[in-house]
Amino acid sequence: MADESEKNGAGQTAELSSEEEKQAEETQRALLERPQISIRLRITLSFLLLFIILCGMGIASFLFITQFDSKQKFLETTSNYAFEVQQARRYEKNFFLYGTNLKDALSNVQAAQNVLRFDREDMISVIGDEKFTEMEQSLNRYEALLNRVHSLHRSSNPADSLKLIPLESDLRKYGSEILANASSAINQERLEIYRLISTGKFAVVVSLIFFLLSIGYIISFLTRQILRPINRAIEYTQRIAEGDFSPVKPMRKYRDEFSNLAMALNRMIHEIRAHQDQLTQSRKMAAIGNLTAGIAHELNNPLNNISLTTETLLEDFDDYSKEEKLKMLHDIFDQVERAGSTVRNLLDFTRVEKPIFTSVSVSELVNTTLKLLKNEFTLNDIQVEPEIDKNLPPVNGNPKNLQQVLLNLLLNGVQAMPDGGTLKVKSTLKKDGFIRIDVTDTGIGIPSEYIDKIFDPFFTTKEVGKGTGLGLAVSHGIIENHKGKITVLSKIGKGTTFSVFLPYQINPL
Amino acid sequence: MKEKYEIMVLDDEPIVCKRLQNHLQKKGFSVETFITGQEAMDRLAQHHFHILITDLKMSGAEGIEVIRFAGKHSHRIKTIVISGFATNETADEAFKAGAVEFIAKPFKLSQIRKLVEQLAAEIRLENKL
Ligand SMILES: Nc1ncnc2c1ncn2[C@@H]1O[C@H](COP(=O)(O)OP(=O)(O)OP(=O)(O)O)[C@@H](O)[C@H]1O
Ligand SMILES: [Mg+2]
Repeated sequence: MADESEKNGAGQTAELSSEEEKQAEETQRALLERPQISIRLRITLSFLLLFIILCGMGIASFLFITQFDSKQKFLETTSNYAFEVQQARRYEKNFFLYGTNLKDALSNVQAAQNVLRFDREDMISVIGDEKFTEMEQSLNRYEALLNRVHSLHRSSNPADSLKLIPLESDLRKYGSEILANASSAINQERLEIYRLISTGKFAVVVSLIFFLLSIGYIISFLTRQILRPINRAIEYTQRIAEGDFSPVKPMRKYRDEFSNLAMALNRMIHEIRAHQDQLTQSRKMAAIGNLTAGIAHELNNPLNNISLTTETLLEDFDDYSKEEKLKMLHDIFDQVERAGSTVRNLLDFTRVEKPIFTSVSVSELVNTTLKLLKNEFTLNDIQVEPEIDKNLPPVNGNPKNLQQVLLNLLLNGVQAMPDGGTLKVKSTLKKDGFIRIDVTDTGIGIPSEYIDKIFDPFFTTKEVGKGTGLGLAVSHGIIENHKGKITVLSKIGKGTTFSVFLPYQINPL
Repeated sequence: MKEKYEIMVLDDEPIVCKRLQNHLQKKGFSVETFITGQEAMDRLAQHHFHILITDLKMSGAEGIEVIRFAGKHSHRIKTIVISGFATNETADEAFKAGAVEFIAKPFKLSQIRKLVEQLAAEIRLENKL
């Protein structure tokens, strides 16, 4: 398995300042302050709407069918009525032409009257009270006339036969009037039925379309209301996983179940941050402990060497040859130098004063640093491959500090390749406002169990006198000061890449 | 005839090795020095030493391992720990591993010599019993 390890050097020191705390509280309040319309309510309302539409359609069809039915019945009744009246008129005609019996005509009229009486309610509901009474009256008048004709005809008085003549024309007039009325009612009703059917068809099509549209709208509305917040919640968790602990803000006008989720997320973010702060705090304490112990160790060793050598010289000065004594004095001198350099590094590490920041060109910085190390590279058989974009915007920084970082990274690279190798220095412009400088060696790599420690002060795997273990700690501090970050990617036996990210100036002065 | 006591010095600071060797040899001890724990353990496995003087580094693991190893291979060995990283915890750890003395760096040659002579006397006494 590949032994690949990664560590984020900078960052992660997010402190829960009161400013951020207040902001978090405010978003929590904003989440709460919106009017509450729960998703359950929205779903219920949507289905209620659908239900109402369906009920409306049902009631409308029921009314339609009822109306159709009564019209149909009216048509039937009126046809029966017209038939009886027609029959009566035929007998009436026969009576005047051939002198046949008028009784049959009367019985037909009675049948017609029965029809009217029987279906009175239905007919009134269709043609109205007024028309119906009119129909009834003209039928009654017709009957009365018939009765008179009948009685005149039966009397033996010859004067009566004369009276029949004007009655005949009256009868004909009333008869045809009744028929015309009936057939006009029939026609009217037919027309109305046709109209009813076509409106019914139209209404069915329209309500079907309306129903489909509302279903479509409700589906899209619900998916929008439910899926979108879920996707947003997924995005939030990804964001949190990447270490962005800014609180979740309200995105919609209303409060619902997802708002509760958002608030739960915010609470979780708060807890994680509090825990992380505790962790960084305890790590800081541990680092300070390490630091003092490290200082003690790093200074006690050279002091011990100086003390032992001086003691030897003091006690047995005459027992040693001149060369031996000179060698001992050199040892003392070297150890003083060693202690001094530790103190110097320490001062760099803990320097409080703010370095002066100016506009720094990355390509120049890299080139001068590489020149400084030219001898070191040739001595150690190291090939340098710079890949520097000359058109990079400048960064705002302290050139000396930044050079120290590059020197530390390059020297670490050289020291990781005792048998020579290639050292790549590459700079790229990133879209998120950072310039990235990669220093890649083809050296021994860093074991994964050390990755977490290499930025700690005094952590070193190098021999006595070769490394103080402050290089990366100092570099980390400097880059943090520049609001950048430093990361490492390493593979045992293959090599190591340190990446420095520095924010560049948007408008160089 | 006075017995010659054999001392092993283990410290990755070469100057410590050289000065201790020089000094203790002058006082009549036989001294071998090592700068890595592995070499020291290889030698301890073959040869019996009376006294072990070893450094304890910051991480401590290697030094402690050597102290245990020495105790296992020659259980009468007396171990002196010298350390630039003198805290109660490291001292405790060293004693638990079997060390009999703990000296903080920087120390004096005379301090070590006195201690070594004292331990030599103890060994002599033990041998007589
Ligand atoms: N390019 C690299 N390849 C392999 N290991 C590395 C590399 N850079 C750093 N390390 C590891 O990280 C440790 C710490 O590095 P750092 O630069 O902080 O200290 P140092 O190089 O040991 O000492 P100093 O830089 O103070 O002289 C090194 O001892 C080494 O084990
Ligand atoms: Mg270094």
